[in-house]
Amino acid sequence: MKYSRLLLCLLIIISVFICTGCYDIRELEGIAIVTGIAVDQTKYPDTIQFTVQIAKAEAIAAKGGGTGGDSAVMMMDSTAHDVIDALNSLRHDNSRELFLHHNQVVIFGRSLAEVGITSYLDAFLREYESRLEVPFIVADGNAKDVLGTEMELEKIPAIGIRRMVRHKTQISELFGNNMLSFVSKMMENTTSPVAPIIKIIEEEETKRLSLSGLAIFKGDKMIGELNQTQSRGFAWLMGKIQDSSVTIDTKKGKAELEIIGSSSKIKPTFDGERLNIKAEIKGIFNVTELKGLHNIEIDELIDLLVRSTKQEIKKLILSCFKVCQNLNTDIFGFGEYIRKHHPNQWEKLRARWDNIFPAINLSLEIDVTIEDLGKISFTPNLRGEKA
Amino acid sequence: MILFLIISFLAMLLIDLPRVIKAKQIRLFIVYGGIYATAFTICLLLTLGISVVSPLTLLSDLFKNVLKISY
Amino acid sequence: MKTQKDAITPLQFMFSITCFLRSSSLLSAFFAPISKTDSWLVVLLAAAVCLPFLWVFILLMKAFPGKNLIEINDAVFGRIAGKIISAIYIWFFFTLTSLNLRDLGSFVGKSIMIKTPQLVIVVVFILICAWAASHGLDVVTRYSVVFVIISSIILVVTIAATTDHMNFENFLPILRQPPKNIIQSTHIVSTIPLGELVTILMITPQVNIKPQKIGRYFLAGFLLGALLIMLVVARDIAVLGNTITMFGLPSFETLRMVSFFEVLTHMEILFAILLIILFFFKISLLFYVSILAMSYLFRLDSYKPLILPCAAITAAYSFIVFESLTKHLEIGRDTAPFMWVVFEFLLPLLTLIIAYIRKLPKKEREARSKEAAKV
Repeated sequence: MKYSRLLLCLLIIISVFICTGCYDIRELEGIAIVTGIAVDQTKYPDTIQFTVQIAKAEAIAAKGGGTGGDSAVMMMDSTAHDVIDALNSLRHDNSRELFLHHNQVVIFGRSLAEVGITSYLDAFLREYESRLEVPFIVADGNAKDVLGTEMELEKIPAIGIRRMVRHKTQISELFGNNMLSFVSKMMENTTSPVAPIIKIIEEEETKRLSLSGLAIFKGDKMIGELNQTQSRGFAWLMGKIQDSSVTIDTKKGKAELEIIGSSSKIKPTFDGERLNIKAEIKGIFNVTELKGLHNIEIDELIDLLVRSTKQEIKKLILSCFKVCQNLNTDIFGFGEYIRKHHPNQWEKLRARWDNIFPAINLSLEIDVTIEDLGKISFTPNLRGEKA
Repeated sequence: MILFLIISFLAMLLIDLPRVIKAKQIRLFIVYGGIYATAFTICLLLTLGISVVSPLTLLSDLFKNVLKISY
Repeated sequence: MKTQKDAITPLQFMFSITCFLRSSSLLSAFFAPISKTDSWLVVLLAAAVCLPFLWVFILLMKAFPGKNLIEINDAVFGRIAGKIISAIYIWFFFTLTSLNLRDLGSFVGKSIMIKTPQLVIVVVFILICAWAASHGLDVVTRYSVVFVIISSIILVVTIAATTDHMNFENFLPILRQPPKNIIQSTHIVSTIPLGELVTILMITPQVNIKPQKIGRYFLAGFLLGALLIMLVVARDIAVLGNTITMFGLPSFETLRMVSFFEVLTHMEILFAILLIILFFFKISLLFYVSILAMSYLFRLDSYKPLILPCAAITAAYSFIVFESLTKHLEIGRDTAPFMWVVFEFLLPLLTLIIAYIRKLPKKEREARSKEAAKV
């Protein structure tokens, strides 16, 4: 019947108009897209400075604006006792509604991280609009300054920071994190979570951001940090490092080896009161640069490189491990590993874990394979025959 | 809110009453009237803000406190 | 009975059961905090525990073919006691409908449409479900096949999309919790999602199949549905690990973690769509069952006149049914397993036992074979 078909078409067309809803209509001109959040301590106790970075949709879309035009972002901050308080005061002071779904990073200032962050994390977990796959970063200094640093290649610093974290995770997934994994590690009794540290580096007239090192948390307070080399050691012990290189320095010359792949296996043995952990680390390398290693036979060269690499890796791992043992923070998840794979033993150990961890005996068994020497096998001076 | 309530219930009556009367069954009429009255009372109580006790909570309290069957 | 019978195919029947169970996979917040990372195992255990429930239902279906639950009660308990027991069942069906409606209202109201009053969401939704129910069982269950296929595709896609967030060590250590947690969790799962299948007893006479064979479709739908729930819970545990105990809607958070090549993000919209589709099915079916039961109880010709006032009651009831979310969680965790067991297991079992004592199944068979001989 034509009549009912017409009615049906009319109903479908009308329902499309109703789809936006009446109360919850959100137009692009009516929202302020929050791209980054920074939380800092203030000089008054128990108050925080909450900064949001809002992206201006028009400025991003404008292609003809040129570099001399307005920046594509705007920073707003407010001071309050807790996160939701601060968010609310920002909401009320704004001509637009805050839209948190596109938030790219959450940065906490170092001084705040050292005081304790659980109460502030709670808001991020409860709020329906916040997403837990954003990275959680600690800023060395003021988080607000880090968030506001202009980056040449990126219009929106927060997106730039997030991409930097993503790049770092290509080296090792442990160098980046997201809020969910951070909170998950916090919930585990014995593991200490880590977060990447971001610094502002002043170079001549410009400032630039650099991700270097990891912040170590015990409970919810930041109590220490790992520098670049120690972070590498951390990645080696967990067997999750690739795409970067190891520098070898021997008496005969230097070499750069690129890490193709790595893996590690943890084998704990329980020796009465002590815990012995044997870590079997495997690394596969390509040689990318040789400096000064002349007049050596290929086999001897590879032997030398392998031995030096093993020593280097061992040095990196032990440097990291010592820091952690001194701080009594189990960032490697040894406790969790034992809880999951050896639950019977864990029952005996869990109460005394704080005493056991600093006394762990770590023995390393490192296996290095050099796969490829690059396009050339000998450096030009080295002809394989004695001159 | 009460206005909205009254309008919607009158609309309901308008839609349903012709069919009920046409069916000419006393039983249907009585049942319909009973359900309509119950619906109206509950909605009225809710609109006026009087909190209605939930049978589920009552039953749950019965199980928990009286019969003491619960986790 | 004079009420119109529209027939549904056995496939529709089977997929209705699966869809019904799949809608409940969104309720994992009830038992996940208790059994934590063993929740997937709990789902399997609960499916096994639920099999005796199913056996009672299937025996009832076979003993009284062509009769739905209300008619069975009338036949077994007599006119007066049967009506009282039927009234108890009807209260149970209405409560289930209202609880599900409230769940939907609170999810949509808090995460998608924050400013919209939940009253609007609930009323609009129940009107749509009532409209679907007014067209008969065939319409309500027709889309169950499609919904199951859509939800399974989304499940597969999300599992593929979250593989890089999955950590299979999250499942360890297995079964290292105090037994009380596992038992409580199994009890919850076997009564709240799985045991609610007692409502299906109301629609079994309308399935176009020989009564002997209905058992296998029932079982197949049940097993498929239980498997889907287990996969959802397992995916959530793999991604969220020990944080699964925190969230009110674990699947929602799992899907938020997905970011495929930076392009396909914000996949929680899939979850929202799926939830609304599945809840639509479940509430329509429960509503239809409640109204059908009511019309049988009062021996009316058709359930259609009752639709609008019952929709009003359901909507109002959904706001009454619990005072606060904490009370809801407390009821769901502590007492609902025991309460629901009465409706889902004890009453049908009692019905079955009395039926056999009164030798009713034999009388039914004799009556039917006499009729067949007459023809």
